[in-house]
Amino acid sequence: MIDDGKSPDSDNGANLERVRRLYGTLRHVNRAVARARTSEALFRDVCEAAVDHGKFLFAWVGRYDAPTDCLVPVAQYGDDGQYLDGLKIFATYGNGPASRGPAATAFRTGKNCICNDFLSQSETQFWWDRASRRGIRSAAVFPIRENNVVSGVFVVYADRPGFFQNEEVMLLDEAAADISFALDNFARDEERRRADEVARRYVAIFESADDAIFSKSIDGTVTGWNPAAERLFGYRAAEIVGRNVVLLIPADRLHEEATILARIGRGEALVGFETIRVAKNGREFPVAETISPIRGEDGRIVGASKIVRDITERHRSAEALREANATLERRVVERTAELAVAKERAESADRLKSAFLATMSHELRTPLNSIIGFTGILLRQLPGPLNAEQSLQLGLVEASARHLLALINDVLDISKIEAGQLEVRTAPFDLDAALVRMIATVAPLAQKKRIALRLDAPSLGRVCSDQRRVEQVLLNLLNNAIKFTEEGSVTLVGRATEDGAAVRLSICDTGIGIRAEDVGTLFKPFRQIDSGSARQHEGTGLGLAICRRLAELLHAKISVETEHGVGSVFHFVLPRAQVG
Amino acid sequence: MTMTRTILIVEDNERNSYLAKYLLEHGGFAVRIAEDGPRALELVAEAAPSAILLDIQLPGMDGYAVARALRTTSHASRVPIIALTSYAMAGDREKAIEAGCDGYIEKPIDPDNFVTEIEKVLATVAARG
Repeated sequence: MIDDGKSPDSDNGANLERVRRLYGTLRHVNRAVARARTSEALFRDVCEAAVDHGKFLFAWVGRYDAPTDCLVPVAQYGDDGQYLDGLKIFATYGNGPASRGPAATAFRTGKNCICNDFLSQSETQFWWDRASRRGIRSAAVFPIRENNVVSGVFVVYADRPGFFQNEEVMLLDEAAADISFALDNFARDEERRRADEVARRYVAIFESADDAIFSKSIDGTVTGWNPAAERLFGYRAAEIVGRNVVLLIPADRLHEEATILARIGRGEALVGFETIRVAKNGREFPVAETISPIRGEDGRIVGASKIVRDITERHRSAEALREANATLERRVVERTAELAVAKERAESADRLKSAFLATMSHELRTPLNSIIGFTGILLRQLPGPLNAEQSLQLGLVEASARHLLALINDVLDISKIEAGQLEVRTAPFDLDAALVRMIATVAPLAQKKRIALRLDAPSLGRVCSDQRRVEQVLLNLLNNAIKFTEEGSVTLVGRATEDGAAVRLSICDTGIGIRAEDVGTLFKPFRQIDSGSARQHEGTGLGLAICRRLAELLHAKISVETEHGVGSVFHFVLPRAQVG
Repeated sequence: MTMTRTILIVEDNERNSYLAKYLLEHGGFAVRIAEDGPRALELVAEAAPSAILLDIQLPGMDGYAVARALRTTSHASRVPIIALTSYAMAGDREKAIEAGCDGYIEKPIDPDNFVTEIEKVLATVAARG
């Protein structure tokens, strides 16, 4: 204590007045403590009470600012701005003369520091000028505590030396203690306010959650119940809180509760526990529960929180999915059986078709065999001579029979192809020789029509394909070319394709050509161009359709370039080796 | 004077066998006719044919079966068999060759070439030894 003050005032009347004034000051300080809502307001009010009622020169409150190690004024009353402005008080002793004054001393020691002759003590020398100007003659400083730790100072000045006597010091000590008490209250209020805020937030979550949330004590008594729980179970909070959770459990599930409580008792949480619960109206429904233990302040488990989700929809979806799967499986089985039957039928139909084709082939040819055979015998005049008219008419019979045979062959061919009955037999063969032979085969027909027939296919070599079918296609194309050409030429041009993987065989004629609008239907069955009117060109109308199908079977391509009245070129592009 | 060669025709259709017979006789052959397989197997020893003209589509025992049976009889094991096929289903010719035939002629018979075709097969078989 720095107390070099003079002797107490001996005047009783003045003394009584002084004590009354001091108690009045304390009353105002206490009122400020009771009323203030913030520490800033409190400090200011306390300073004001000290000056206005305690007749001190002025008062201020300083708070310790750790970064600067200074006691910084945060509230004052009665200063005209000269004293506190630029004031530096270091809190730590040894930090120069500015750390030796009463404020720093009180802060460091945690005890009041009274300085009853400010302008004569060496400790205050640093501030003499400043204090002298302001009229300060004595000072008293009281530590302010927050949570029992000194955090600042309450500083009071007087304009007379020896102003601070026992009563003053005692009362101001009390005022400082009240301030400390108020600050602790503020801290507690703040803490409570924060806790309330957190609680409010949790309550908001609890209240607005879509999942039913409730809490229960360890004996199963419901202690909390949110609106979603009301919706899910049908009980209002007021109805259920205080009652036992067994209300929510179907009789046949009661045994589960003991297990759950045992696990909660061990501090375990249950996540996604699926069970059945019962609503107030008796409706039972599937739920998934997450159950967590609630601990009291001492860490003991006092209850549990439950988050309950209605999984009826999920169950329904799963059930629907299961049903859909079952239905699907059933359908697959049914469909498979149907398909098996259909396959069996189709196969049996195929077998029937094959047998039918074989029979037809035989049955249709047998009479033709006789017709063509005997007509031939007669025309060769083996049995005896014919007159000119008989020869002519028998010739017509033979031509018609051969035409009928061609028709039958083509119809059977296309039927066989479409029934998958036509097998491709692949073997290597000499294409050059085959081309020569085919040209020779159609040569008589060309000669008869006085059409030039040329082969322009220098050494194409061997190919691996079905020779019989290749020849069938080429003969068909050659016959067509000759048939539809009245003058000019038919040329078979053969060249390897650029990549060498195939041979392009082109049958070029100078015949009637094909109108653009007819090209599209050219390769379709029974579409002989010109067949509408005079049927000038006898044929089955199946030749090109067969060619196209045979080409497909041989992995070959068939196409046409044509100009009506100028001629046509049919391209047959045959792979040198069968693929696949 | 050479011995007349005999051809055994196995054919159920009378008109067809008559046609073949007529052409063959004109070509200088003697002809015997069997209307089905069993009859052919009976006749083959007695007829001692130079060749057998065998229709594939016979009632009952079909041409393939007849060919196989003929190949197992001592009298006909080496006699050339010419199948009469009807240009029908995939693999008919191959089946005929597998069954033991030496050649085939496609029906309908072409009167201009029929005898020539038969001579050709006979020459091929003779050349083979």
